Amino acid sequence: MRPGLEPSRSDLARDQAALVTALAGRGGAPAGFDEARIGLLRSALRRKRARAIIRTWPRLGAALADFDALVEEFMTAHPGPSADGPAADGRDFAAFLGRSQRLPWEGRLERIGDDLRRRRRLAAVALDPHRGWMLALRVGTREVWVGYCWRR
Amino acid sequence: MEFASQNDGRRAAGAVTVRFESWILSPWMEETGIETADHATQLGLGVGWRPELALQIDRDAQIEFVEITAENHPHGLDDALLRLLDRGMHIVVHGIGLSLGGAVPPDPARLARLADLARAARSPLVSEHIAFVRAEGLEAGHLLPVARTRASLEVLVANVRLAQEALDVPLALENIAALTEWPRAEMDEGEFVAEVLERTGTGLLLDVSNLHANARNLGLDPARYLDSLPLARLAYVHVGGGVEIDRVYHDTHAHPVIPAALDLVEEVAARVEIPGIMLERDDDFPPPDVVAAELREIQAAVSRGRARRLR
Repeated sequence: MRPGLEPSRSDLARDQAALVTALAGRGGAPAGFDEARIGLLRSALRRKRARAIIRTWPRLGAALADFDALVEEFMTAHPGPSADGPAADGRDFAAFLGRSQRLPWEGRLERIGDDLRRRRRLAAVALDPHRGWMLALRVGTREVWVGYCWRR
Repeated sequence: MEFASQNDGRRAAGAVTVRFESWILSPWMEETGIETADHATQLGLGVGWRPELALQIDRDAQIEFVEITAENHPHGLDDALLRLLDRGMHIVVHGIGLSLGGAVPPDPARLARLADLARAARSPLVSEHIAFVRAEGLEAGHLLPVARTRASLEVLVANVRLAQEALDVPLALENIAALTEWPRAEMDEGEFVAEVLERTGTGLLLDVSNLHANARNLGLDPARYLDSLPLARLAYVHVGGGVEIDRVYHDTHAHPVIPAALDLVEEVAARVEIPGIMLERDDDFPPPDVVAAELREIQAAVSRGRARRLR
């Protein structure tokens, strides 16, 4: 690394952090930026992020009648999306709901599918005391799901 | 007791496809002195690979290459992509997370993953953006514009060189769509992009929809922009759909391609032979016949531009 670049990098880091922070809703537009455009970009980013969560976690999205309100709450609590992309952001959203006992059964099932496919786990289990349990196993290129449901 | 069995693998498409190795009229171009992109792999007509489009990509004979978003394939190529590779289709690896315009050097682990995926896909090149996507640990979730200053350009050039060192194949850089821009720009966007490409020897991934967006939203002059770019470095072209709301164009990749973007395709093809061009669709996927029709429109715009150039 050329040492001569270090001052530029440090100025750039400060300026870029100010912009990202503003877009995350944690600060006003940095000096010289068009406030209206920053607001427009901020809301476009939130829409895009919510849409990406629905696309990568469709069963969870479909199961939540109040998805819009819940995802807004999640994005306010986690202003930056996951560095690992929309599917990981959706997983964080599922975890956020799970911590407050608001993750629906369909979301739990989608999460064990995610464990097997995206996280390459060999086995994963979902349990809901009010609904039942489901065990998912990866066997070679196939999946086997076994469960018991005591209330639909 | 409930029992369910699922198989995640996609069904192989039975369709027989014919692929034309050379989409453009190459052999006599050099003799006639027609300007063409230097050393670029001839990719043809393509589409951004998405699970929702996988079946169509398997079956639509006009699709000659695909581009995959690297960050969506953290575990390598799945079966559907391996089948395309077996058929001899080019797969171009496209990154969105390197943050080459960022203040910090690109993460070596990300670069290594990108290089591994490019090897697995036998990708003729890797593409990324002239943008930053995170700062001080906070993800923006979007490609953000870099300040067009000398200092920022030096950092970008240094970052791009680090990326080039980590990759086995050439790197191409893409212009982004921005809703806002940094104050106190020291050069216009065309000059900035041109200088980065020239100094790093990278190829150009020209996104005509992003160019339209910046023309509409930031007042950039597309003709002047194209004039200032080293189009001989053109690797391939992106065309995506979008929508205009309250006089602001949004590059959504979830709406149809607008006529202005196709006009820009024609303008580019009128200036240089396009080695590859592809449709980006990320959401609200239309039926296959609509996607096929958009691909034909893109192809037709290329043909119109080429006819103008050869006239």
